[in-house]
This record gives sequence, structure tokens and C-alpha cells, in this order.
Amino acid sequence: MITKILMIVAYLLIAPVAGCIFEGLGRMLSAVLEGRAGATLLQPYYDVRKLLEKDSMSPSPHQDLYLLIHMIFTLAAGGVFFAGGDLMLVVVLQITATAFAVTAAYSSGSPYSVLGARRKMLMMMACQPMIIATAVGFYIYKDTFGVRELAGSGGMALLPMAGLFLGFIYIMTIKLEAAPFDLGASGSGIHELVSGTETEYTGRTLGVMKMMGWYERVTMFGILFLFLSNGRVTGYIVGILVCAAVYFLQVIGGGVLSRVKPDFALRSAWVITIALGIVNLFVLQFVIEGV
Amino acid sequence: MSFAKKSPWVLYFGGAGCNGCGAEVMAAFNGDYGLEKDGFKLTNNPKHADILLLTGGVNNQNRDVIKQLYEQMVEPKAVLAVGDCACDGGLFKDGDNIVGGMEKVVTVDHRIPGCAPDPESLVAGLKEVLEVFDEKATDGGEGEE
Ligand code: SF4
Repeated sequence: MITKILMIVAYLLIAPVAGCIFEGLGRMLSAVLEGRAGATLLQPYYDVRKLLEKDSMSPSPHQDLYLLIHMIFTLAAGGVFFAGGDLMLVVVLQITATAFAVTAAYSSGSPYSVLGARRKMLMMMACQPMIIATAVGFYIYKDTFGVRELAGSGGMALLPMAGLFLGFIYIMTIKLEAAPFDLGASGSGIHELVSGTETEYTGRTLGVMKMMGWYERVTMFGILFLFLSNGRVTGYIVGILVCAAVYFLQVIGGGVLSRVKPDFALRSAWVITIALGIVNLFVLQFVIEGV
Repeated sequence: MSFAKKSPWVLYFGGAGCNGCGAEVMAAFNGDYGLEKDGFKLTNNPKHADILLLTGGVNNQNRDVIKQLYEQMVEPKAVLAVGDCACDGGLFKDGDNIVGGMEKVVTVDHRIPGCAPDPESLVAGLKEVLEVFDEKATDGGEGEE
């Protein structure tokens, strides 16, 4: 019990720091790739601190409430994950969190925000099947949804679940709205939606939402880590290295690929879910487990 | 201490002018002048912006737009007028449609004269207006409207 509480506290404290540092490194890397001097490592931290110091104004009385619920579910998802709880519960909490972020963006009624919300919902539909397939894959392979058992025992799931692993990386990029899938917020570079779902978040609210993004990212990388972790130190080290490599590949990919259309994101996500995810589940069930 | 100085997000609006200042603004932000290192960032969303950077003058068509952009920014915020047109109407001051400089519609916190000012003075001016912004942030986000 005490370890669980400690893990949750550690998650709440360390996740934003890790998220912030990785975002800073990512920005530095993309600046190097684009031949710019770029911002400093701590710029994301400064941005959020400044935003937290600003006022905020809300276009609708409900937006802040929905965002609060989004916040609670995002933190709960990460908390359950790092306390070693049920992976399926984490997935459900994440879906609920996203649903409330979408509702918040809809509630403002502002055109860019609503368009962003519509896209974010499409992205949610694109991602969830694969994330659920991943959880099911872990269950078939290790007979449990418990994150603690998944991380701390059995063999490395990477090889038997290779399809799910690759598919999960693809879907994770969509889920975290990293370029070229930054459709909902349509943040950097192109701005065709001003800032999409984030258009109506101001000052403090925007700062908190940025932090929620870090929490969410850490949880998603935590799930990715489960593919590598086998309860031994080597597994942990490989896991962390692979997570870092995937993150930087996403940054590079975001820099060199042109932004996709929502339609393509949805279709490709489903094709990948079926081709890599579902096929992998069948192989896992009928060939590897031999049932 | 305030973090306002570390991460100023700039909203650029080009008013009634020849757009020469606009070209200089883009040049100042292109990376060679290290504005990004100081946390400066151009944003297209007034609701996210800290500094409103205005070029060109006010005419009857854009006065409400400028006012609205300013009102949509949350406190604390600061306004920078770039170029003679934004300072007092400049070259086009006597035009029938020109109302005047930007102070006709918003409180301007800092002015950079010149037609057009070069990127170096723009960068210097941005840092000046940052002081004003920081002051407002430290005073508890009260604007001086
Ligand atoms: S100040 Fe000069 S360069 Fe700038 S917009 Fe006016 S006329 Fe053009």
C-alpha cells in the first residue's frame, strides 16, 4: 500500500519534470534539424510558469469544469498505471479524460476550437482500438492486466508482440498529437486552426493543460516501456533507452514529414491496427500460446 | 520573481502601412537575432499572446479589429508600436482614411520609430517592451488601460 502511494506521489512529482525536460530536448533537436539557434532546454518550463502567472478567461461557464474533470482522469490514469494497477482501467480512464477534453473544446462554441474538437474526436477513434488491443495482447501473453506484474515478471514482450509494439508507437504519436498528427491543436508551424482545441484556453488554463500533456505523455511512454520490461535491470535499461529513442524519432519525424489529413490519420490507424495489432493478437493466442 | 520575461509570446498585426515594417518583423524573428533563445515566440492566437506588436496605422476598417485583438489578450499584456505609421500615422498620416497611430485605439507601451526600423532596433525594442510587460506582471497583472 505504502509503495503504491509513494509511486503515485513520485508520478505526480516526476512526470511533469520528465515531460518538460523531454519537450525541451525535443524542441532543441528540431531547432538543430531546422538550422535555427532554438530555445533553451528550460523554455517549456518558463512557458508554463509564465502561463500560470497569467489571468485566464473562459468563454463558457462549463469549459473549466470539463477541463477539471479531464485533469482528474488524466492524473488518475497515470496514478493507476504507476501504482501498478489494472492496465485496462488505465485505458478506460484515458479515454474518459480525452472525451472530457473534447467536450471542453466543444463547449466554448468558438469555431476553431470546435473544429479542433471534431478532429480530436476522430483521433480518439483512430487510437483507441490499438491501445485496447495492446492491453489485450499483454493479457494473452502474461495472463494479467496488472501493470506491476507486467513490468516485473515474465519474458520481454517485444518479440511475441512485435506487431502490437510497432502499431502502438504509430498510434501513440497520434494520441499525443505529435507532428505530423498535431491535427486537433494544430500547433506548431502551420496554425491553420489558430490553435484548435487550445484556442480558447488562456493563461493559467493553458498552462495546466500543457502540464496535463506531459502527464499523459509519461503514461503513454510507460505503456511502451511495458513491452521491454521483464523484471530485470537489463529490461529496464533497454526499456528506457527504447522509449527515449522512440521519442526522438517522433521529433525527427515531426520535423521532416508534412502534416497528414485527419482522414489519412484515421484510415492508416485502422489499417495498422488490423494489420499489426489484430493479426498479432491472433498469432499470440493461437501460435505462441498454442490454445 | 516573475517568469513573464522568460517567455513572451508575440501577436503581430499589420495595420495600414506599406508592409515594409512587417517584412522587418519577420526578419527579426527569423532566427538570426536569437529572439527564440530569450523565449520570444510568434503566436497567431490573441488569447495566448503577451505582447501585441503593431505595424502600420489605424484606419476606419481596422480600428475595431485592433481593439478586439487587444481585448482578447489576457492580463498582463503590453503593446509595441513598430514604425512611423504605427507611432503617429507616418507617411500616410494625411490620407483621408487614416485615423492616426496605434495609440488612437490601444494604450501603446513602447514605440520604435523608423521607416522602417531595422531588425536590430526591433530586437532592442522588444526587449524594452518586455520590461514593461514584466513590470505589469510583477504588479499583479494589472493593466494600465
Ligand atoms: S513606417 Fe514606413 S516601412 Fe513601416 S509601414 Fe509605415 S511606411 Fe511602411
